[in-house]
Amino acid sequence: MSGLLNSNLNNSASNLQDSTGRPFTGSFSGQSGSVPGGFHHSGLHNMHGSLNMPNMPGSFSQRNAAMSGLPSSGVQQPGGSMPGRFASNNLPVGMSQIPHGHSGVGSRGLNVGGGPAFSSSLNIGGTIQGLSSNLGAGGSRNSVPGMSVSPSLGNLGPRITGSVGNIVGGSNIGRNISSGGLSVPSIASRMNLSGNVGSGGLNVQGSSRMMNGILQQGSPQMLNMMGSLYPTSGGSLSQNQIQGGNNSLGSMGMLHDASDGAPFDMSDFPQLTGRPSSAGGPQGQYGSLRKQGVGVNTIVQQNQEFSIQNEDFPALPGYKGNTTDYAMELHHKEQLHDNVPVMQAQQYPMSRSVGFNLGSNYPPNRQQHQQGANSVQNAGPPNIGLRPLNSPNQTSSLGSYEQLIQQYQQPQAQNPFRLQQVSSATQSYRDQSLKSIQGGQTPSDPYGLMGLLGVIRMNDVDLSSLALGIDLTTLGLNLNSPDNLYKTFGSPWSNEPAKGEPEFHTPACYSAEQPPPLQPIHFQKFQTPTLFYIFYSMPRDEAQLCAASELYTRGWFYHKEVRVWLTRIPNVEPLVKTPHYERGSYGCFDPNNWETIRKDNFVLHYDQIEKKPAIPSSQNVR
Amino acid sequence: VMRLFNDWCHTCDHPSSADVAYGRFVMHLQQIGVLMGDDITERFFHIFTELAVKHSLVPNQIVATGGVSQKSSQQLKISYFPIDSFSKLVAMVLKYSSAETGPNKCSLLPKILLVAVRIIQRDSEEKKASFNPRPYFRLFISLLYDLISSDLHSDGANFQVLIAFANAFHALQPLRIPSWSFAWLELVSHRTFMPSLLMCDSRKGWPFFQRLILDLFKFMEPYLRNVELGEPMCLMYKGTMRVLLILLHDFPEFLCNYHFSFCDMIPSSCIQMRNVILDAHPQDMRVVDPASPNLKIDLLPEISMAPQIMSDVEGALKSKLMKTEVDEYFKKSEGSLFLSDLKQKLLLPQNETSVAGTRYNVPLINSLVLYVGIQVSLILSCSILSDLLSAILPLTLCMHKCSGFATATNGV
Repeated sequence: MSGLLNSNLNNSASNLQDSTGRPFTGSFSGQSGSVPGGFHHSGLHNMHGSLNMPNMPGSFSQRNAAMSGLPSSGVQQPGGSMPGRFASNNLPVGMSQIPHGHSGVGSRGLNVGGGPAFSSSLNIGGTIQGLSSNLGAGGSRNSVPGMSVSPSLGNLGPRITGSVGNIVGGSNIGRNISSGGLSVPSIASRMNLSGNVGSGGLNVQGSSRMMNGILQQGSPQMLNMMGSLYPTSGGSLSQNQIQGGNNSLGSMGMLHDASDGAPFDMSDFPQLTGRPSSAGGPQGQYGSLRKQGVGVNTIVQQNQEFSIQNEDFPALPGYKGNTTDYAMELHHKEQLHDNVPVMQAQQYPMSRSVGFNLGSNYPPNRQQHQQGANSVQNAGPPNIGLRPLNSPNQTSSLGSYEQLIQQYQQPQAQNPFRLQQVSSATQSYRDQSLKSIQGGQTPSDPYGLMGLLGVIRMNDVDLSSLALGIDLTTLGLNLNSPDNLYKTFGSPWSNEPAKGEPEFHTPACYSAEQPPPLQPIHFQKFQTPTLFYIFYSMPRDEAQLCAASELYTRGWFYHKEVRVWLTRIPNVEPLVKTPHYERGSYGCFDPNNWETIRKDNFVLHYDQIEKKPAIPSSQNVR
Repeated sequence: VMRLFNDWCHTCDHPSSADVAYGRFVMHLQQIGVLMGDDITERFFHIFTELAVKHSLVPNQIVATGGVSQKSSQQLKISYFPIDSFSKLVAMVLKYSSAETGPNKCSLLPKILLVAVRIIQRDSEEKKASFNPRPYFRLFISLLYDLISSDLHSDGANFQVLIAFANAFHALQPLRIPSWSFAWLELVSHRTFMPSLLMCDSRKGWPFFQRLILDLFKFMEPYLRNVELGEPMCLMYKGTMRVLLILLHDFPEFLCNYHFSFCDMIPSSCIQMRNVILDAHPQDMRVVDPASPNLKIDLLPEISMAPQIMSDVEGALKSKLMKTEVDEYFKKSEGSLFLSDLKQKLLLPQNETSVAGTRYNVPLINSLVLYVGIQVSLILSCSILSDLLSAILPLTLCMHKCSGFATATNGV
């Protein structure tokens, strides 16, 4: 009864927050409002992406960490009033969805709740304790509005109230509409909780419905708000980049939420940017649904790792440093304590639900859903169990674990840099943030699939030329030739083959010293046939003149008309001798037979004889 | 010496000069006492080399020395006449000194090359960015043409000449003189040097050329590992690929036998370069497609032949004192802590990690894998093999030739 009264008070408080937030308009309210909206949507996705029960402690702890980080991100106190408005907007969504699940939950809950009464009661007890503690904290703050509260504390109160009101207020409104009695709501709430625990198929359907509803109802408001902040980009490449950035930022944020809450702010911007493009048509909406599903799966997987981290570090020093409220610390510890028994209880009901036949109306669909749910749920505990068992036994596991730690340490180094980006412009902020993310990922794991993806996409021209390689046929070498290539290999820097050089050897006679040049005096040593050879075979040459001159010295003379060389026979007098001619016997050189023949009774006119040629003045014969 | 240089340039410049004039000049040098093979010879060639390079860089002085006047118009171009004259002098000195008593060419050529190496090193250190490697490149090209192309020398003397050049190129490796790297690669891969060295009798020249290729990889490894391909390094990489393709096409056995040491030096990101080296196979071996259907590996005749590995496989293991431990593990595997300690020993110390760019000792891992593959064919124990390989294979970054492991598998 006291819980119901508290929920009513909180609900009215959230309404007051909504009314006070309306006067803020323009870009300021839009900018400050986008951050809390993202929180709510991510929280809803976390809750409905998998079982509601195990995610509730996780989602609460995420919100606490995010709230503690907000002061450092620079959000001012007036911005804190916006979550109330969003909370009021989310209420109709929850109200419209719960009636759909109510009938299904009612029928199945009865079947499941009848069997494991003990486990269901245990779950109910844990959940109620958590809710009451949250309500108590919110009530204590709202009861003293007049006192001066620190900005961090002021921001904490409205968020807690809004998130709690979203869950409790929805159920109350539903019950008020559907039933009028006071005892009925308590029974209905018990059935709802047990139904969520027992049936895996319901969660699968519920998650898809919730996402669909959120997209249909929330996208117009988001489009209006985002219109003043981001340009609507229809390219699929940008969507892929945004989604990738969202996943990586989300994983980093969940792993290090205690030390720094800024990653949550980062991860929400790309997610919001992706929504306006999905409003382009039904196909766009379906594509967005698929992308959202991928994101949810990633968040779910990261959430499991987050729970592992919580078990390894029960008391987080960052959380203590942010606030000195003892109640909050106890609350955080209680959540961690409840985490283990809740997970253990989850395994027990799952095994029973597999054995149930809930009816013969939809056997194939129900079996598929149940099998999928079982595989999803069973994947968590084995991962948790394997690491502690392996680490003390084998060294290789420790090595791989160290590698994982090194990979996770990479994002930590980038957090201070990312904090500085908060104050910059929105567009440049988004671009730089994504670029730094992509750049930071490459050296962390170059040999994984992400590293190879970078190589395959050929983002880096140099890396692709080394790994994938250059076209070897463009290097100018004919690798198919049967001959050897080194003979025509000109240079490593030229693309054309060099012409083959003939392999020859210069004879020794060419490098020997040349004989001395001829001189006119040398002709005196030649024989007469040699002189005739020089005369006849060297026309227009100086050697010809030298030979002729030497022949005249030896008694020969040249006849112009007959064109022969003539000489007198020794000891023979001419027969007739006149001042103008002679007649007698002469020796004649026949160039055809190359011999000297005797001619008798030859008339020789003196004017037909060639004069002796002059020797050239130069000493050397050229 | 200046007067001797001018006289020699005059002698070379004379168009009707012959070997008799060259012989007279060499005898004149011997009469002076310059070619006795002592310190005077080194100083003589030292100053001669400096004069030749200096005159080639400043063409105006050729006119002063009585050179051809038409060359004075080429102010900005390098005149190679002094360089060619100097290389001709070296060739003539070696030619006529071998015919007479005294130091032969085998002992004189290394000294001349050593003088040139020292001059290049000092010149590159002094001038830094303004170092011009082209005169020295011309000098080595001329010497290669004059000394190696001639068939008058015997085969043994020719091999000695090649060894002298290989040692000189090793001393001038690009890691020491980076500005000399382009000329260096062209000299090493020149068609008068590389084929002659690789086609010597009984492959005597292969270790020397392998050392030169490793010098090239050591120079390029830091840039390729960090993917810092500027325009000069891109040209260098393409030139290296061309040289490797020449070796792959004409001398595949060289790449086969030395693939182990080559893969040690190649960074892990250079996948294509490693594939070119590992693609080499002997010319008389028939290679089948591993992806073809109905392939029976055990029926191939090549599987029984172990590949020849001329690299030092056990060098890295011995330096890390792991060879004895591996042998002991093979003999007695029960109760051994070898596998548990193996992981730590394969990591590099902290100070070496920044230099190598990786935490793993890649040469040691390659050496261990190949040594196990060789030894396991002698030990018929499958459990030891599976335990050892399961600890090593996740850390192996490089791939070896399939025939090596095929031999090991066949033995097992």
